[in-house]
Amino acid sequence: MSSNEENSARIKKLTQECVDIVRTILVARREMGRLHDPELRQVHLPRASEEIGAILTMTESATNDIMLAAEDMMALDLSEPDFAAEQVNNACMRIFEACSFQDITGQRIANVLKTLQLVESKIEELENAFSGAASVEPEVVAEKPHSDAALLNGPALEGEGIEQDFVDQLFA
Amino acid sequence: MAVQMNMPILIVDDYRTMLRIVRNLLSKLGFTDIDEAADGETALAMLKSREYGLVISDWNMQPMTGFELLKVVRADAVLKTMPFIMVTAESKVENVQAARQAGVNNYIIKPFSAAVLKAKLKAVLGEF
Repeated sequence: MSSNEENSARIKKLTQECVDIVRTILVARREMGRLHDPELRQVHLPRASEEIGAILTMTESATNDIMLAAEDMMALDLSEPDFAAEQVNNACMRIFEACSFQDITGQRIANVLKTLQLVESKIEELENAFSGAASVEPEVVAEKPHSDAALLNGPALEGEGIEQDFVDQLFA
Repeated sequence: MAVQMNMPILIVDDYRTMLRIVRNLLSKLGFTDIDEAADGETALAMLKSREYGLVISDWNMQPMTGFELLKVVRADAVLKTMPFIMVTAESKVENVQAARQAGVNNYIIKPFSAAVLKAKLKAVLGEF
C-alpha cells in the first residue's frame, strides 16, 4: 500500500470515528433533552424546600408550646390543690394539642420524600443516558390523577389553605 | 336529646400520635367509649360490627381514605345517617366542598385545639 493510500485509509478511519462521536453526542443530547423536567425545578424542588421550612417552623412552635406548658406546671402554687390540678390538666391538654405537629410534619416529610424519589429517578435516567445506553426507557406519562386522588395534597403551606373560620362559615 | 357520653365513638387516623391526641381530648370532654382504626378499610369493618354514635376520621390514609370511607358510609343503608366529622390537614377549599357534598357533618383542619374539637362535637351532636 502506498503512503497516499495509507493516509487516505487513516483519514477515512478518523472521519468515521468523528462521525461516530458526533452521533453519540447527538443521541446523548437528545436523551438529555428528553429528561429535562421543568416541573421538577420550578415546582417540586421549591415546594420541597418550603415544606422543610414549614417543618422547622412547626417543630419549633410545638416545642415552645410544650415547654411553656411544662414551665406553667413547674410554677404552680400547690397550696391550692384543686386549682393546681385543674391547671395541670389544662397544661396537659396544651401538650396534647402541640403534639399534633408529628402528624402534620410526617405528611410534609412524605411530600419531600416524593420529590427526592423523583430526583433519584432523573439521576438514574441520566446515568443510563451517559453510559451509552441509548436504551433509556421511554418516559412514562404520568397517569392523570383520579379525581379523589387529586384531593390528596397533604398539609398546605402558609397562604395556600383555608382557615378553620372559613370552614365554619361553610358549615354554619 | 342529651348526648350520651358513653356512646361508642370511632376515631380513624393512620398516625398513632393523632389517635392518642383525639382519644385524650375526647376523654377529657367526658366521652368514655372510644375505639380506634388506622385506616378506612379497618374502620368500615368496625362500623359494620358495632353501632357507633360518631366517626371522627382523617382523610389521607391507605387502604381507603377517609373521604372514600365517608362516601361508603353515606351509601350504606344502615350507616348513612352516622354523624361523621373529618379531621384533616387537607385545607383546600375543594377538599372541604367535596367532603360537604359527600355528606360530612363537620370539618376540622389540623392542627386543631381542644376548643375547636369541642365546638364541632356540639355542632354535630348537640349540647353536652
